[in-house]
Amino acid sequence: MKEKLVLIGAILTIILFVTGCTTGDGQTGFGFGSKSSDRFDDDTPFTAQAHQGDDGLALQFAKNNPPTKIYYTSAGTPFNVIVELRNRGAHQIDDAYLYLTGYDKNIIQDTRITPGGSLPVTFDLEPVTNFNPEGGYETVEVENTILNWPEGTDSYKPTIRASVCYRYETVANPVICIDPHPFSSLSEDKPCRVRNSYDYSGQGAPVAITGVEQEGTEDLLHLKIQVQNMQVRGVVYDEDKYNPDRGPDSSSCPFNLQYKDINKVDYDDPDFSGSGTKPQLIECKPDSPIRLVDNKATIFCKFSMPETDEIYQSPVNIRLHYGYLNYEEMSVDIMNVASE
Amino acid sequence: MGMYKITIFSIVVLFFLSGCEIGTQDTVMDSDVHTGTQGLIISTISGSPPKEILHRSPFQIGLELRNKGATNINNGYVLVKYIGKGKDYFNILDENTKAFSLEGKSVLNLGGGYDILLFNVENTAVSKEEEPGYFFGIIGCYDYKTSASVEVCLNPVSAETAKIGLDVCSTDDLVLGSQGAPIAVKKIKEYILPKQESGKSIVYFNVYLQNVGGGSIALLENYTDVCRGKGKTINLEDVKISAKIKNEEMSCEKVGKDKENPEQVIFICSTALEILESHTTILNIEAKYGYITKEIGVTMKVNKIAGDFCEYVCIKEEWGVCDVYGEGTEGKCPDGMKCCTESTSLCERDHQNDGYGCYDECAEGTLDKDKCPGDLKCCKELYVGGCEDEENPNKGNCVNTYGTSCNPFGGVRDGTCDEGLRCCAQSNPLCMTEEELGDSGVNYADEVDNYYCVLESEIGNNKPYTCANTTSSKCPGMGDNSKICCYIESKNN
Repeated sequence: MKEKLVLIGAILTIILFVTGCTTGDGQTGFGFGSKSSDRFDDDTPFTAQAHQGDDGLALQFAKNNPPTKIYYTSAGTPFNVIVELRNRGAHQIDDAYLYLTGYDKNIIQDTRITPGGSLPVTFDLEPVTNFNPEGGYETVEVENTILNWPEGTDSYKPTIRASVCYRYETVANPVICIDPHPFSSLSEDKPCRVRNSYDYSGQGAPVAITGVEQEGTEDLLHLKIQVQNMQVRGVVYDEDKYNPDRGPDSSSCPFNLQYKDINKVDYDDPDFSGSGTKPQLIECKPDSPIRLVDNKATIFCKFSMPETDEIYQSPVNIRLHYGYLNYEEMSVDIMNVASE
Repeated sequence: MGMYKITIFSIVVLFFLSGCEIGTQDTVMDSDVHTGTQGLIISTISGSPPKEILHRSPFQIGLELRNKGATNINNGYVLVKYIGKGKDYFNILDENTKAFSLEGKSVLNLGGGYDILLFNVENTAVSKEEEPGYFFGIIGCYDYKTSASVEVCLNPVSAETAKIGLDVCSTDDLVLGSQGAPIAVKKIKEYILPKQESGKSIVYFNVYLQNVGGGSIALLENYTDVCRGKGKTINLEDVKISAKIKNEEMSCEKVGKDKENPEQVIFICSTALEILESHTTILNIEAKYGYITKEIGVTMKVNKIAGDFCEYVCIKEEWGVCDVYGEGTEGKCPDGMKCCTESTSLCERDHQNDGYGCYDECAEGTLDKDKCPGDLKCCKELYVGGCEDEENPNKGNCVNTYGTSCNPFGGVRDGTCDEGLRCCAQSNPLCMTEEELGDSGVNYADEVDNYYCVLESEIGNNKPYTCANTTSSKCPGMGDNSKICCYIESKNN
């Protein structure tokens, strides 16, 4: 019995030590433990589907570009930064623009930028479609050299940030029950009932309509539309602040977004589809653009009920449009090994 | 039992294996040479000097020098001096100061430069009384540089509505480690003012400096004089620093001691920069100075040998026959030397603690004759620095005596002046009465009813001045420029 206990103890100790053994890049040697980065997994946003999920544009640095460690040997030491971009959402991206910041451009200078030749790099990306289920894909490559190394400096560890600003849209078509007599007998067999029936499953955009609550009277239909910015690190802002033609000195994304610019979302008046008798919008409050508080906002809309006794379901088209900023960062350790 | 042994063996093996790491190592080359709080480190070689020697025997003081800092030492000096009782008990056969140069740490030489210096010393005498030991002091003096490269954050600051926090870095206070030098930058505080009309922001850095090497600081221009005991050390706040950021030289000024930590001195460096986007960059701070190491003490015993050796002091015979070194006495000395009872000259014995000694040149009016050996004179040492230097013990004023001596100006003082001027006691001639001279030292504009120096040729009838009385030797000038001290009765137009 004692020997069995000792054997069990030995096996547990083996497991304990083995899980402490790591490879040089932080991965566990035998597949246990957390990985250093989720960005290289296939389960990340780079495999999202159309009109689902919370992603618009997804970006990441290509593996080893830049490398985590660079040895500066002389003026002109090169290294590359490659940013991979993919449109994981349902809306076409036109004229998005990318900046690289976070480092001293006197020390690290770009020599060639593809595409475009200079920063910011502008690009278009198709959305996820049936014919392109992965979404549009682009890479931006920036070839850099380390030129004016400050004298007496042993190392420089900048954090390179890739920021992308673009305009996006969220479209949702929740189905609403049109019931001119919502308070009639509950025993009546109706084709649909007025209730909060919208199941959110993502709209293929970073700002989502997460719920639609419905209330009705014989004359009016009320909708309470919940809006939310689904990405913790993404920034939604007034789309007027999107401008690829202006540089760091202007008051536009990404350099000069102020508190009054962010968390602003424009919406079009919700509209029931169809050309026949349908509820007519009376008003929506608050007016467009709405401001998200703690990443959330609510739009209240009032419709007049159509003059019909029919009970039926109809989708209501809700469209949001806004500017969005995504960014990724990576630290690079540049070590001076140049002989003096 | 066998099971136990196997289990324990497995656990021990796995204990070692769990320290394993496969794949790439973190660093291939450690390039961080700017660490440590020392520049020059001096240590004695074991057995050199020996702890005990025999009376009259030669020996060596061997010193190991290491440059543990990041800066090359180009003009370093090591000074060895005997600081014990009896000035002439030991004779350093070479110069007591030796020069050296040592390279600092580098990527290819992380240990820094290394050298050995040997000083040949001879014991010439021992004290009559039993001494516990004889002491030598060793100091190193060298030119050095502190070079701190710090990664700082530059975030655009606007006077308009605050921007959202999408900065890549923050401007928190930076606490630094050592930089491979005895003076270190310990802390940096950053302040950025909003953009000015020029489109640039003013960036300020408070730089906190501290002497961490345990030694003393001197100016780069005169650390060798300090080494020889002729110059003065300076305070940390007198060190000059320079700073550079994004290839822009910054303007740096000292603020003073840090009230919270008086060991640190604050400097403020500033410049105007165009900051368009949040980023990090390198701030280079540099200080150049002379450094004097803390004195190392070496002690050794001298064992007397019974015999007819001179038990007192062997003095060079060319300096006289013990005339200023006490009475002659029996005892063998090396050829060319005499055995005398005193190890110090009569001058040093008669003038203790009043600055007198045996010198080649004397300060004016301090000569005390026949108390020094050979051609040396017993007096206060002539100051060879500037006449008006604060350090000059016989400080005077540089005046134009118009060819005469300093007598009309209160007498001569030590020190050098520019060509054509002499170093005299006061800047105005003695002609002025004490009351009139007062503290101003300036001739009054109104000469009438006052003493004033006038040209001899201007006194008398039909001349500019009429004097009630005149005095000579109180005004400067010779020949045609000769002036007389005149009590001016009237000025004749």
